Amino acid sequence: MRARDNPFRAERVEALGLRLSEGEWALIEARWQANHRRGAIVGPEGTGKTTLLDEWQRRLTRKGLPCFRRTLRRGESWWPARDVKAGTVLLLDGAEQLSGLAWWHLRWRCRRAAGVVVTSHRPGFLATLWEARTTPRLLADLVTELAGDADPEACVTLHGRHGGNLRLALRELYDGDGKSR
Amino acid sequence: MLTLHVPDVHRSVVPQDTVQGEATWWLDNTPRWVEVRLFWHTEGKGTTDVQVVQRQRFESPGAHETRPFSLTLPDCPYSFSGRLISLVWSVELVCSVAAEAAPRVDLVMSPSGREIRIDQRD
Amino acid sequence: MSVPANNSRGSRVVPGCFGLVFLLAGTFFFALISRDLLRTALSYHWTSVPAEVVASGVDEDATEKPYIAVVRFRYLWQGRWRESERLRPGGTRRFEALHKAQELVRQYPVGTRTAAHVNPAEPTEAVLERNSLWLGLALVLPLVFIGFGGVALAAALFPDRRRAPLSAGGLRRWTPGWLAVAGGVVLILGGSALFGQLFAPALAKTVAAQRWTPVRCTVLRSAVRESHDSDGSTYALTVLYSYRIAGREYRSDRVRFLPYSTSQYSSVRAEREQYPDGAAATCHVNPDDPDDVVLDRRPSAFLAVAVMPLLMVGGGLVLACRPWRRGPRRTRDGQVLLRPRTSRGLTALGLAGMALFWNGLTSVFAAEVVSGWMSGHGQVFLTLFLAPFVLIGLGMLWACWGAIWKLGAPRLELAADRASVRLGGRLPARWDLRGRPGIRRVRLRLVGLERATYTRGTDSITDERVFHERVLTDVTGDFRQGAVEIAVPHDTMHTFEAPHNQVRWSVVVTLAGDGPATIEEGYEIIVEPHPC
Repeated sequence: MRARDNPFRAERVEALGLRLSEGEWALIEARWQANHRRGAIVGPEGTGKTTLLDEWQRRLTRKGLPCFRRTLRRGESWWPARDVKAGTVLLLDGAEQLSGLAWWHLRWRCRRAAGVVVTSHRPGFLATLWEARTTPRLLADLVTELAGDADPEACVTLHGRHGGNLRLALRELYDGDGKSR
Repeated sequence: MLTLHVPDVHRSVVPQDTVQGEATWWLDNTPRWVEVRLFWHTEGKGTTDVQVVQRQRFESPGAHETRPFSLTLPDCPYSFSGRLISLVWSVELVCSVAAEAAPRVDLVMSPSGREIRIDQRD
Repeated sequence: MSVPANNSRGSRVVPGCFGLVFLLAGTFFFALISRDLLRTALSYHWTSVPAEVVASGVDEDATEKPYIAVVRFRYLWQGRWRESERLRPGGTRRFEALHKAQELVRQYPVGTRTAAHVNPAEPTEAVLERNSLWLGLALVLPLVFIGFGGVALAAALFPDRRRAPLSAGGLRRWTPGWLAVAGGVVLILGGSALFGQLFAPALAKTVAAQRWTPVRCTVLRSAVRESHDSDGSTYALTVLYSYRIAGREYRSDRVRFLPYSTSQYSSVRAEREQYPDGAAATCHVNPDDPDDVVLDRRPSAFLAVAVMPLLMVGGGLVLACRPWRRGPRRTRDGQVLLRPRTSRGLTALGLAGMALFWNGLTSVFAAEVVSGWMSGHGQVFLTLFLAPFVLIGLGMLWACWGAIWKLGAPRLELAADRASVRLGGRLPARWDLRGRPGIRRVRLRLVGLERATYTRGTDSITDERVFHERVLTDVTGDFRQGAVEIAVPHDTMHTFEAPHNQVRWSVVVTLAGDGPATIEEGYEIIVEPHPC
């Protein structure tokens, strides 16, 4: 199968929408406002934190709020945050990469930011706004959306094999020539 | 509304060939700029890479117009598809005011005019 | 999908500031060292006159550096005898350790006749030794700082906006340049200086001391000396002891050849308890020089850190000895030498560096833990905490050993008229086996590979897939050379490079000998598109 025909190719996976209801969104935003517009999306790898952050950025942009988005790569333990201006909302992906000193420096630099939302593998950075979790049912829904159908039992096995990491589960399906086993 | 028309004869091209077509836009306001872009992008298992190779900007665009365009392809990279990567050539139409998705026409560029297939091992 | 407009982000301010800091620091130190070098050079124009040592010994007072090396000599200047106590311009006479003062004094016993160097402009200024002009080598480091800082500042002030297209026609190639050579020279000089100053004397003494004579000695005074700096407090053992050789009493305070301090007060205190005041102990005396003595002649675990400067020298040699070239390496008859994608030397050096850095650090703590258990003060938590680090270090050493073994293994040299071939084209090539004999099978395959990297969030995963593989040659026997024709299919994909997606071609060489180990290396070739 050609890469461009594979239903599990990267562009399609990244275009998957977030499975959050408007009620859940309202709850997240209410928590954010209650915590002086500071908060964290927490969860293991491959559970949709970056996708949630993407959606949050779209919502903020629609409301006319300037955003600054930054993704920290593995091992990037220091970020000076000089580009974060007052009145901007900082969306930081991968806050767990920062060292303790770097995190406190970042908080100080962002004291005049209009808001801060970070993603992290573990709690403790800011108030937890949402704990990202996945289920075999969610995996089956995503596979159905991408490939048209899904084997529920296979999704349970796949979900367990990758410890709930949907990114790895979908990448395994890519290698199966697009078959939703 | 934005539309792009590229005749079939220009959708399978060889390197250094010319892609010709028509760009049509119908907008509520006069745009500051309207542009046709020739680019390639990858699809597949890896993160998408994109490179714009050529642009043609229409001078003093009106709110409703149809204009021809002509873009010249380079000698590489060819359109190809493997199991992990596909490289696709495209032409798209963008302007300063439209909020809708930019219309896009995919092309195939290779010496044979057909996509190079490397998805089967040889 | 809408293609984002080109936008180059990033500030030039930060790199420019870094460059300015390096430039200013380099200039400052260059000026300082140049001043000292000039003074040293001038002293070589002083007048040499006969001199005789009239007093030589070690005095002691109650200051922080209590031991004073006193060498008084008289010299003849314009018919008059004068006296001086200066050994060298700017040199120190005060020492914290007795044995260091003794080492200096030993070089000039009373009655020694030598030459003194007198400043003709100020005849009261006379010295026995002059500072070395090798100080000039220290200018290399600030020059590198100035070079690096200047380049960074220039790049920030005058950026080059050209960018090569990301296709087969615009592949970027990095070739070592003057920066690599300069960096290599700095590493060689720095590593040599560090090793020569800090470790080589201690290593040599440790080896020699294994044949020294054990002598009974008496501990006069032992203490745990505390030092403070910005990182906290460190502790070191000091022991002053006396011993007798041929009826004469000697004193020394050298405990080991490579003294060190540690933040573990308990371990130093435990060691001090082995040397209480007034206790009898055994020291080891150089049979050729009774002043040369040590209390503990065992090799210090800290000597393991000595490999760090050796690695610097090795890395510097690799960097500096690679020829600076604008194009590919060529054989004598002008053919292009295809190169493996990964260098065996750099791989071994990298693995060795990592292994030795890791093990060098963990060995310091491991030595403390072991000595703690041996002295009955073992710490269970520290032992368990350190165990995984030690295991990782052992794994690194194993990998390093494999890479080093590969260094000495035979290698295949692959040469062709050029390093690229067009789609549908044929490239004749020649291969030669270099190195020791023992290879029984040589196999060359042309391999085409697609490579895709997915980056999302903090993670990055790369997948590879072979889409083309063809055996070019497969010979068994005692062959040392041969010829192949690299034929690329007509209807396949040329070499393609983008940040996350690539199509690469290489000639994969497999060498097998009598044993189970095989060596496999890939030699990159560029497959170009058809000519238009």
